[in-house]
Amino acid sequence: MLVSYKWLQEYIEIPWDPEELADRLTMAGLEVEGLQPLAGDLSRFYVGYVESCEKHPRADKLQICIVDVGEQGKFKIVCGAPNVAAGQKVPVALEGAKLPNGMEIVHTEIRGEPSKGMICSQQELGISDDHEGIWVLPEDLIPGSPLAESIGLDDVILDVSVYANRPDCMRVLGIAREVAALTGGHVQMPAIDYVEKEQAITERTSITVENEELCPRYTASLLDGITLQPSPLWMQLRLRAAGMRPINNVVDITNYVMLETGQPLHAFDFDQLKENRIVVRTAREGEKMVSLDGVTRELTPAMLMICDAHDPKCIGGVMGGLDSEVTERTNTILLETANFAALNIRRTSRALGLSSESSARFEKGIDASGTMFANKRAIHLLQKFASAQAYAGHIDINSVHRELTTIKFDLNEVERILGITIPKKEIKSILESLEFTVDKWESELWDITVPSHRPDVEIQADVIEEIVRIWGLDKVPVSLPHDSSSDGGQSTRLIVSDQLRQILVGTGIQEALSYSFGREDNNDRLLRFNKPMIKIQNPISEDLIALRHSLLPGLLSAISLNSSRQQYRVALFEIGATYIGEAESDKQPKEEMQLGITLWGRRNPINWGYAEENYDFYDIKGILETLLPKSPELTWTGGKNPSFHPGRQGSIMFNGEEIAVYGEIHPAVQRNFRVPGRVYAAEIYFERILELFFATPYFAELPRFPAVERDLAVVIDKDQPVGDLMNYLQSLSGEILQEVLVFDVYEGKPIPEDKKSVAFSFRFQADRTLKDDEVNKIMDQCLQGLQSKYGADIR
Amino acid sequence: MQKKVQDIRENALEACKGANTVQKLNEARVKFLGKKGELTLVLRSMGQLSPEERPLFGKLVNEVRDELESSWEGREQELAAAEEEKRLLAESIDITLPGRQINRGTIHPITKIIDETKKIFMEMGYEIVEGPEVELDYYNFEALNIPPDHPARDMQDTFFITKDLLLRSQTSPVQIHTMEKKQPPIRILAPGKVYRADSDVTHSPMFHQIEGLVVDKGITFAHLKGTLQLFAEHMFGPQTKIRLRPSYFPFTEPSAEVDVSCIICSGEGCRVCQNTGWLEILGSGMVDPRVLEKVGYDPSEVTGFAFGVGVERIAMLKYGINDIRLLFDNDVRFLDQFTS
Ligand SMILES: [Zn+2]
Repeated sequence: MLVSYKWLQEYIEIPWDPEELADRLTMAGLEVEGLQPLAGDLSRFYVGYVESCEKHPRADKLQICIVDVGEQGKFKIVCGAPNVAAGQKVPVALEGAKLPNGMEIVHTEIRGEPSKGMICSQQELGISDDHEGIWVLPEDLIPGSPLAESIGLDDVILDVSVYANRPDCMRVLGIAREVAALTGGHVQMPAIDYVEKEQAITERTSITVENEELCPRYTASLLDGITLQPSPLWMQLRLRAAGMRPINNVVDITNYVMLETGQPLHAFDFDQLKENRIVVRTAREGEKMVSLDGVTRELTPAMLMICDAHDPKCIGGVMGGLDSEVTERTNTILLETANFAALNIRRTSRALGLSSESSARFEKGIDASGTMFANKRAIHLLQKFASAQAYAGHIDINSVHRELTTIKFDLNEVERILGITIPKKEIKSILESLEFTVDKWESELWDITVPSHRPDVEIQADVIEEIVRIWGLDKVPVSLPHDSSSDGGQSTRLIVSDQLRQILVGTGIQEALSYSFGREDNNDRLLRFNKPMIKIQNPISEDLIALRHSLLPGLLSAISLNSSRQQYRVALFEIGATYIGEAESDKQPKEEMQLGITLWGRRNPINWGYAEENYDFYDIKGILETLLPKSPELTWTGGKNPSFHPGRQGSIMFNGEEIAVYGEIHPAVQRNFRVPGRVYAAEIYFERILELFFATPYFAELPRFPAVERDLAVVIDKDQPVGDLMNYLQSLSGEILQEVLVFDVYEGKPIPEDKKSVAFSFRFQADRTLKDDEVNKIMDQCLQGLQSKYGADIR
Repeated sequence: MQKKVQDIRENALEACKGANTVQKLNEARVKFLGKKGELTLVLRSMGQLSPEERPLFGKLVNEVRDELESSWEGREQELAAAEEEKRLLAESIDITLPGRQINRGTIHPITKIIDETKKIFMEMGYEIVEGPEVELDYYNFEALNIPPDHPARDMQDTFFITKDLLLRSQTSPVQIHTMEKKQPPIRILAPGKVYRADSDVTHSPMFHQIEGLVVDKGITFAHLKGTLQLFAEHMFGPQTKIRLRPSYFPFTEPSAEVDVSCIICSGEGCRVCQNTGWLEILGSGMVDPRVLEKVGYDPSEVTGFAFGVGVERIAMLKYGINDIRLLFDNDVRFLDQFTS
């Protein structure tokens, strides 16, 4: 909410300048998000009097004006505005003045005529968008007086952010009350006095409220003799400062009183109301109404309407109807200050896609006890500035019988919650400054009555908040809770995630973070068809609509992006949840944490010392071999995952369940995600093997005797998986054969075309000195096995 | 004879000094000290001397031999060192060529902030817990004192999946899950992803929060202040100050927004803090008694405080990141900057 500093000063004495006021309010829970002077530096701007106005001899559209600027002298100013005329009081910028747009006023010549200054429009002064000619000021201003002070432009606007629980601060008087609580001062209420006609309102009209639930209170007055004209300048400036556009005195006054009291008002052209009466009811099926903005609104029976004897004339609390709008022909107005149910206003406003200053206030909840005051305040102003005459009395249909809330308040709670004692007297005075009533204050158990404008205060904790925010949060001391009985720690899946992260970073891979939601066809793009994903009902974009099943789409998209940005190597991993299952009514999907890894492009940095090689299958496999626990319970087999190259993928099983797939991404998937070149990837469902990560290492004695190493090279069929040979050889290991490694695989001359050569390295070790014989025996056994089982030839 | 020995000595020393390779030095050694060397020959001719002279002469020859041997040894070392020096110089390489760098992995800045925060609070005995991201309306709102149609629901544009299922818009539901499962004392920290329908330079539809909750007998607002002060000092440096501003959250009462003294200008005022000297980093407050009642705690017995930290906000402030979207683009040039 935008509030003028000067306006606030009308109700409360403020001992602080605007900046300090903003600080104090912020520290009391009314955050001032900005401070802005109403106008810029207007130090060389004055009120001028246009003595004469003559046509420029060499330009049709220009006038040469003689402007009397009092003590500053008389100036000849060339002016192009169509509305300039002798006898006007106008804002004048003299030499050295700086317009808000940065332009500096200098003596100049326009079409051969000297011009010493400028007559300004509102836009040029930076206070509105109005550039329809110069700004004609009220006649009573004195020429030569500084412009800012004369018309109240020397003001500062505070942008106050009002929290959802404090609608009572959506008004200047509400903020004034907060200031009063901070200064200890008193709010000076605005005048509401006026003269009534003899004839009573009840003789001219009647109000029927059919739905008291949606309209707990309806207060109306009737005024005639309205003279429609612009509202006074100060009022216009305050409306502008609050971000509203001045229209005419009647509309401006209703807006002004709304800003002042927080109570929205509506003025009906009384003569447009059939049978001159008001019926408050819900809309009938199929009813329509043209609202003030010219749009035809289709109404539903859920919406509360202010009607005449026949038709809806106003969407209650949201927006008036076009045909009962106050116009120049209006003589009599019915002035409504009503209270509407917040929730219904919210729903109506949503259903119609229509919100207004009025609905914004009603939907946050407004104190129903304020309708009469606001109505009288508006009559006071209408009498003063629109020569309106009020019929005697009001019609006030009030079905609110709410008792004020009383809270039993235990003074000891203050210390129990805040950790500090606040003097009793201090507490009482804070509460009273906020218009709470304190009873039984001699005891420790008070009865506190909450004012009607503070329905947000319901329990003791709310009262404590009121006390401490005015007393000052900064005065609460700083301490720490006593030592914890528990040691902290985290879940196994978090521990394992942290562990995986550390290893992956060590292997040169970067952690990525992508959105948990993506395109609806992401499973299809992974060639994992017929796997529907959970969808968001109200996504912000079609690209962010479906909860992911896999981390691969995010990682593949990241490769695509990086490759388009001329990167030559992208190695990424991500750990995050996937959301699998159906989301029905209140059934939550399974959230499984997974690890995704993708490798793309060059294996090593571009460097004279490295061969120019790209990542391949064995890089991703090697990473998994390093990363995963070395457990015999993990079975490494071939894979059948549709997202991967059918001939270049593997799968890892644990207890019959797949815990990882890895390999080269299927070229179709690669194309779907716009990745140029091959990608090697892995998807690891590590939550399924958490226990394996916690195996405690068990020390084995270091060998004391020298090892014996042997090599063996064999030639086998080209398509014979070496893994089978490895498995066989490892099955022979035991007492003395400790390790078998593959140290070379070779295809090409002189090996026949359908063959390959594989070289193994054997390591024998025992707790004694090994004899050649026993080693040879096993080596023979290995060779024979390879020969008979795999048709291997010794090389 | 003695004169002869002296001559040999002088000649030998000269030859030793003059030898400029190990080979020449060895040749000279043979010439003077070898089996048929000059000094050996002189010694053999000792027979010409009288028996009285012999011991003296023998001593002299031995002295000279020792002297020459040590000269040779010294000279030999000199020459060997010089020759090695020469060989090493010949092995010189271009040390200005770049080294064989290895790829360096990086932890994502968001994870870094979460890790740092976890560490701070685990030392204070907090347990790190998690909760579901696809959450029931009840936990995200109702149990947190935000009934349907509550205006606070407007403050957060929530992603809905069904009428009752949503993507959590805050980590606060973890408070409820924890309290439903456990009796006080409670001291938890819950980092995680949260979602709101918002996207611009400072808002992302997915972002991270870290929720803290402490419930026990005798927990006060002063404890909340102390805890947050400690957190701020650890996260932003020991000179960091905090400031609490009254605020509104439906599930805490009293509530406070927490600012830290600007880490860019140390409170002097700059563009980042919009000249206020303060940066808002988290929301906090005393757990609303109505929330405690909902999980079956007795608010007259126990009290608690809770806080929620915006991780992206802290990462952006701490690392000077100016666009939140960079955090989720996974541009490796961005990720590369977080090596330490
Ligand atoms: Zn700063």
